[in-house]
Amino acid sequence: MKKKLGLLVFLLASTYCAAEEPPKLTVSSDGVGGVWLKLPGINEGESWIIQDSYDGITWRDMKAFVVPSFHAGALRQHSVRLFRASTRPLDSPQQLLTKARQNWETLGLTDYQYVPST
Amino acid sequence: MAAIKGGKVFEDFTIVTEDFWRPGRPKTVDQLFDSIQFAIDQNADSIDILYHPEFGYPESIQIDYDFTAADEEWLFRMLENPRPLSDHIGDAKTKWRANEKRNYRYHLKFVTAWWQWEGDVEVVDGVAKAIGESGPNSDHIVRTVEEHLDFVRTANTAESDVAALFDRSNGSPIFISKDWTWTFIDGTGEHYYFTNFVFTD
Repeated sequence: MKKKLGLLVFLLASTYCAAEEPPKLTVSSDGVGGVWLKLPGINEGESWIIQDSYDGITWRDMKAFVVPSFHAGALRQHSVRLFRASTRPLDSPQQLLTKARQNWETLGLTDYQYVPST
Repeated sequence: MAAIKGGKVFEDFTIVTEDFWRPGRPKTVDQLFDSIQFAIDQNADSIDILYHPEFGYPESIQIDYDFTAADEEWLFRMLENPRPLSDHIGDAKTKWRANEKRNYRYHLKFVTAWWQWEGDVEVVDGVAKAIGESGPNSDHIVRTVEEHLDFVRTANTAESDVAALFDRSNGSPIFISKDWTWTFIDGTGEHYYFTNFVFTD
């Protein structure tokens, strides 16, 4: 199923290839009608995803057509590997855990209650 | 509900599956962290954790050690965040007062190591009384919701281990536990179980 995607997917295709650090994308909305991505410093727009897969943690592969109105000329296909496009940070599970533990220990809460659900 | 004092669990009233609270299951936030660390060290096939961005405690945990194996996944979600009991009491009071209800009924089961009382409590115009009471006098435990909330607040001192769970919609108590922190003979303390809560006005 095709999804609309921000123009930055196209822009990122060239940007990412040249950059050493992977771009840090975030998804600001993700629904049936399309995916809207944000990347600081790059304008947002729309395009069509023809392939979209990711491992759920560290990477995301996308192929997208740029919408003609946003890009002169015919539809062009671009393939790009993006590090995870999500609202979550890009750290590894270990980095996330270490940071979370530090935050918890900084809070210094030893007397508390919580309610879990399983 | 898990209640922790000084980093140790002293009450783990079950409103979720019994399995969750079986011995060895992580209960304190530090134990939850330890279990996540274990999954990372074991290279679990899938580790998906959401942490509170500011305070760090896990808000949801989804760990699958082996995609090919069944029944070894660990799913956890924080329904009410870890906070001091005083904060929970404050929230409960706010919710209860918003109701402006003075007539209601509930079933109470009160258990200590040497005494147990169980019966219906009716509150009319803000006054609580036991319905069809027989046996030992229960005046000291038959209370309005406001009185129960005040009891929890005043009992929550350094000398006592107090835990309480409140209804998330109206703030009425579901469970209260009180035990002395230091006693020569370690008993179970006092437990209050509230069920069948209904407004009657």
